[in-house]
Amino acid sequence: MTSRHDQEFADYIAVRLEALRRLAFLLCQDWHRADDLAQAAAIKAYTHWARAERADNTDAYVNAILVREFLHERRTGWARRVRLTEPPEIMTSAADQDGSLDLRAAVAALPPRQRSVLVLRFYCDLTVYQTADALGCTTGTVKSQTAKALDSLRRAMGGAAQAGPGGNPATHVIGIPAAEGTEFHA
Amino acid sequence: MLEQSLRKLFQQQAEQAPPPGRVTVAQVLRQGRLRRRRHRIGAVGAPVLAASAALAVALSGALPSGILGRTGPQAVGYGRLAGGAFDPSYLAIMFGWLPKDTVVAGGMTSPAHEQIAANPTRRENWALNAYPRDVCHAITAERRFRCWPGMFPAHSTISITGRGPLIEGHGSWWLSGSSPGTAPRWLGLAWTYAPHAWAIVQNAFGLSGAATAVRIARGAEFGQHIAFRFASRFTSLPRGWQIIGLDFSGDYDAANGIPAGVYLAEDYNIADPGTISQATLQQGNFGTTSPDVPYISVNPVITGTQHCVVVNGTKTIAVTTRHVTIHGYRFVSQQQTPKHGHVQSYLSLCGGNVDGLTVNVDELAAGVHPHLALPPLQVMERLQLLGANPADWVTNPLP
Repeated sequence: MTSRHDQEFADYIAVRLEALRRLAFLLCQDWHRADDLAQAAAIKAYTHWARAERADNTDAYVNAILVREFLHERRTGWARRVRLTEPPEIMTSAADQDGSLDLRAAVAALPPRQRSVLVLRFYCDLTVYQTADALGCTTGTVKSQTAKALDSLRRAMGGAAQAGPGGNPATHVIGIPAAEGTEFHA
Repeated sequence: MLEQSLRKLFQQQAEQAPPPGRVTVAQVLRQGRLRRRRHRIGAVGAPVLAASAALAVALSGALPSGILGRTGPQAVGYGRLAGGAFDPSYLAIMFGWLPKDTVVAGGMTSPAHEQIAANPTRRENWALNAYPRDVCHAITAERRFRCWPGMFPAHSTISITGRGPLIEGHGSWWLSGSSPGTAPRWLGLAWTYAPHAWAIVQNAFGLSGAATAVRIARGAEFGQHIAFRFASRFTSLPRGWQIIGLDFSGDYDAANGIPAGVYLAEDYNIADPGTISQATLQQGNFGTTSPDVPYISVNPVITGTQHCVVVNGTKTIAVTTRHVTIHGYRFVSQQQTPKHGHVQSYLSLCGGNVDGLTVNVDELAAGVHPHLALPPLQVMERLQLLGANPADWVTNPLP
């Protein structure tokens, strides 16, 4: 560390890093990628710290960095570091009888932008205006993306309900969709 | 109903016990510093490098050798950066006294500026800065203190708030620095340690600690010749290429296995100072016509292996990717040309056989027709990695 800038940032990010990880996980549904995203967002926040700490809500500012980083990575995604092993499968448990796994799978299958909108609105509890600000789009886009996402979820959940809770054993083992791209091992 | 289920799901997912995180604050800070340095050098303006290079060209030979830093055979070998400018390969300043429980955290060197910072264990963050002759000026009539562009954050103002005590027989000035629209944010004490050459002791954390600042200033040591340690070295380089700046870590990294008193050069830049034109420097717009500046980071402190994957990119930017094996290490070489015309070339180390060593060789070149005189691949081919054992590190990475 070489300055007050670093110290202030370190104090801030030490407290916020875990929350960033969790938010990143909700966006990408993968803890490994969540680590990468949280780190990328934190580094970007570091380089823009002067602006971030002047923001009305520093947490919201950094969250927005993370969400945009997620979307940017998905959009351009020309290079990134990822795991070399497949993500662990999520097994159903006896306590998981409320269809949350189906919902989880449906959320994971949403396009990134729609998933981001849902996370910002229903996890971060942002308003339409705040969500639009975080995503850098219009309020109309937020509304339409929300509507489309909810519609997709309803359709997906409806399909799952029709299959029945125990109808197809395959529905009880839900793998997180593998990352796009070509992995290579050393 | 669905909205409630979503809230519940997100809450459950967020509250579930996550696996141990791989990201640490120290790691973020290190990478952030690398990124910030990259920005400094890249297209946005590169103030520090511009000022450094400006000094290299404009003041070459104009400064009496020996007023700063080291003298002797090494300085002669430094070519166009000889004279009063610092040799970034060595640390010329050192704290002679520091508050209790405070250790050297690290710092940076360039021909026009050296800084060594002490990591605070309390709410003070002390940095000792030194500048060669004529880089900074005290304009007492205006109560302003000015340095070359890039020495301080853009648009910041440094005010002289009063006369300070004598430091080694020289007058001093109290400074306060701030950014536009903010209250004074840091305290400084500036004095000339050599004719027209200024030093500043700075509490970057606030306006307190005047007595401590005076004591640090009176203990400051100049003309040191402290070698850094490099975890890599070049087997060859084009004639004239020099280290033009580096960031180093200090005793703060003792917990990472680096012996006390060993200053590790975490990342550094090499360039041929002769390729930087005077016109570019005078315009203060380094980014538009600058030559390429390879950026080399060989950091054994950041542990873990980088695993890389190439993702199909969109067609909005041109990306060229190829895989290469150099010295038995597998790399992915990527070059992208964003819309704004800058070329960025990256060489990333990928593979499982280099745990404990992070290597990046980035090259940022700017302009409509950038010339990549020493592309990252060639840098890597000429670079010998020395591993994570401090005993294997060298004090001079140049051939």
